[in-house]
Amino acid sequence: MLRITGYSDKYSVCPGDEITFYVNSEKNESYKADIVRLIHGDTNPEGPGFKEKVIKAPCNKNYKGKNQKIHGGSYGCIQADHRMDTDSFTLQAFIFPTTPDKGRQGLITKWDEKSSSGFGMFIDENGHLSCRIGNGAGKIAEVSSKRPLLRKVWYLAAVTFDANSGKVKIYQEPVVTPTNGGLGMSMLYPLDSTANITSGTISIRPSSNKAPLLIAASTKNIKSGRHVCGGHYKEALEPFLLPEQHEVYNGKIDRPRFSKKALEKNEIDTLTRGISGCDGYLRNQIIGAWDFHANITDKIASCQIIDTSASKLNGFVINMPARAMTGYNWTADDIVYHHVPEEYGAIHFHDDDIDDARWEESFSFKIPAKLKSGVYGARLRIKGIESPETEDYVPFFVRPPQGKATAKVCLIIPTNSYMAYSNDNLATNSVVAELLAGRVPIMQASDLYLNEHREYGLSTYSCHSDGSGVCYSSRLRPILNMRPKYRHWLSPSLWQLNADLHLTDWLEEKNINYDVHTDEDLDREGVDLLNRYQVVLTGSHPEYSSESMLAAYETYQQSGGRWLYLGADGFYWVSEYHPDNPNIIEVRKGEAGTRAWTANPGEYNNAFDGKFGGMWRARGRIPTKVCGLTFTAYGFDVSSYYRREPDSERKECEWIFKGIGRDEIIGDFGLVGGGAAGLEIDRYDLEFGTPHEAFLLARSEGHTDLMMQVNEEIHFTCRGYYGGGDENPMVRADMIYYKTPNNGAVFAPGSLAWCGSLSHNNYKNNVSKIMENVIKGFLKPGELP
Amino acid sequence: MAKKTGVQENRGYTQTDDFITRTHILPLLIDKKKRKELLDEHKNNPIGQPGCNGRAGIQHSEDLQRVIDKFRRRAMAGKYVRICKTPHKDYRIGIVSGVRGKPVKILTKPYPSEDACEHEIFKKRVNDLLKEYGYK
Repeated sequence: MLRITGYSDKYSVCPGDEITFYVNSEKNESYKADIVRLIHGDTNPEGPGFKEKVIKAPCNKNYKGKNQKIHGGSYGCIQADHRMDTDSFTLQAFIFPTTPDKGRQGLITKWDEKSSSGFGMFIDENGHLSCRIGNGAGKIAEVSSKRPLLRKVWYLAAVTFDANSGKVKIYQEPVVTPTNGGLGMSMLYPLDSTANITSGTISIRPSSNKAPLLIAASTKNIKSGRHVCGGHYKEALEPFLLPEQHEVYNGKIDRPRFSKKALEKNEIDTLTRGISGCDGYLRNQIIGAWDFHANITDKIASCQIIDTSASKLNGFVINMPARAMTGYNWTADDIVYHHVPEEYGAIHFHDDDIDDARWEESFSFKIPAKLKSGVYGARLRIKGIESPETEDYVPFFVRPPQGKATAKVCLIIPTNSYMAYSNDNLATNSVVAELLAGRVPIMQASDLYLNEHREYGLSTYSCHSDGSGVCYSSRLRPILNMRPKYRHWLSPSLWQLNADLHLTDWLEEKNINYDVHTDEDLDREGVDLLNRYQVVLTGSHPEYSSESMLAAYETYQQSGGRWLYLGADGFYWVSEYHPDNPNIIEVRKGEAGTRAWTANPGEYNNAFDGKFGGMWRARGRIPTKVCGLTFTAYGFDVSSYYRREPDSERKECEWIFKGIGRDEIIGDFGLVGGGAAGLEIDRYDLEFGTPHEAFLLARSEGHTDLMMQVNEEIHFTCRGYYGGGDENPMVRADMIYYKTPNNGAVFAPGSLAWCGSLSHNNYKNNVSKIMENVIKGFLKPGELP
Repeated sequence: MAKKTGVQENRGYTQTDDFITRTHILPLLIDKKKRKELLDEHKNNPIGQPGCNGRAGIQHSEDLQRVIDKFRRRAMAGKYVRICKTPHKDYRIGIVSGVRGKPVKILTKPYPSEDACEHEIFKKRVNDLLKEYGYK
């Protein structure tokens, strides 16, 4: 089992910046840290092998290791307040449980597990709504609804307790419309199998405690030693202390309320609808009435939750539960949450949400003034031992000095896409993994660790433990499948970061000087960043783009930039950064596209920017318009080769093939599936915006029947037309070239496996030759042929 | 506890899958000659071969692919995975629990390559399926 994991406070640094690392030594063992320049991450003995270079740094030394845990699972937190110390109470909310059978889950709790004191509304071990009261002297009383809650059904859930009489009352009342449950059922019959009002009398009274009021969890330890402040908690002007939570709930909660009296049912109903309908008497009973839709503007990126009562007990949601979620009253008349915020009062909590590991700092590294731009990592080894179980790398990217270029070529590292694929756990979670990969998934020490440590969170390719899709990914946690040496289950060998090191290695071998910047830098700085370079390269799979990234690439082409799009399935999904924290991205997977899940009805718009999420295609920005190619097929078993097309002999193009024979097969070799065309492949399409004077240089052929056309283009599934590479002419990688205004140009080979072929035969091969011809040709000043 | 309905037990899926298995999969494995053919084909080409020098990639025969697809689409509980103990040298067979967070059970026998491990899993799956349906 893996014994060391780590992450850093940032990905992207310039000389003079300081980067901080956070390390977990699983068994409290000491570890050695070294800063290394990462050159080639593929350990395959058939290739050049692993290459790294240790960089002298003051932080390169032995450290005393410390076990650090992640407190995963999202919840709402309102700091303890004296007004919450009440003997009688009502707790109420609309709830939409998604795992009612998973065991005890907190809904609204003022509970301290250590002293067994306080009270709360829970789902109990039997999947029933329950009220729990503890007197802090060892006695706990619990009354339940005695009926199971059903998955994906909205309920009005309320528990009341009258301290004078000792009477507890439980209301478990389904609230079902044809639309409000999304894809959940709306025909509940017989109703009494799940609806019930029960009561009981107990002899104990709740004792007060210092626990915060939690929504969707209960308090295991009042003090975790952790806090939130700034960043995506910008409304927290001073450190907001966090408890350690447990009994985390899966599902939605809408309009939670807390009153200091055992309310009557008509009062509960009035209060559900909002504070404005309550009379003076009722208002005086309210301790808190949180409307999650109260701070929806044109977006709902905020982590703050608003108390609409006079108490103003605002709080925060921790670990990024999903906002902009349809509420108990969603009518489907509008599917944009900021048009009808009152119908989007729900937050969807998950027991495997994570926004930040919040570990103690382990060490820092100040980037030296003259450190060459490139891909680096903090190499962490338990007791200095190199082995899959004692080693982790925390990659980071060193840019040139702020605002400057130190090379003519720049590589944009697709960090958004790395984050989207983070910690997917699909080898153990998903049937489709083996079908996609065309082989039995291979798990490594880090995969086995992730399987047992679900608090490390998931990827946008994963479903939460309740089956709903993961729409946020944070890099403030160890992302163990974004590492050098890592071999990915989805690929015959490498994927994402480690695959992109095939490219950096080739650049170094060919003495092509290059700078690196990340997606995050491009999103922030736009085309000004690209305009510093004569040639810009993408990584092998820049699939996730923000709006400003697309704008930067489009403008670069307009202004004479020369661009090599070196992957496939690029610029495909809308993914936006949190407006206050670029370490977190959001991706809503819409109703089409090659995707692991589909957003629920009415939940297509991003919380982070309010705009329609999903495929860029649906917003009129199909990849073909950005890079000339669009994603056409995928298959992860084996790769294939290219054959030249007549356009490659035109005077505008022949320079690209200098030194390559007319009938030469291109790329029937490589470290990714044995060929340069594979995994995911793109084609041109004039109907979809490929520039009308683009040249077809080459196209791939010979793909197997596991290479299948993408589903967004299939209107009717039918045999013989939408099949695999042995029958469907849409299944091919097109290598294209086109010119752009102001003497710019774009070269795109249309394959995710392309860069895996660069090192073949000691870097002497036709894939390498084409790349060298294009980059050197693009670097020549003056007009292109 | 009331007896579960066919819908609650998802018999629509399981019984159709059973029919498909009996009709289209088992005949390929019960016949010893055919079974040997498929095992030999898998041993020689467990994953497929890339397209090379103008020749298309080599994919599995339709019969072998049909059997493999059956194995691949089975539910996660009890499913085999490959475990990389030492990259490019030592691979083991793992058994997935199907429950998130529960460890993968790792068998002790080492295999020298990814392909050797893949083929061993295929053999195990053939035997497991025959046993499940009462064949030796």
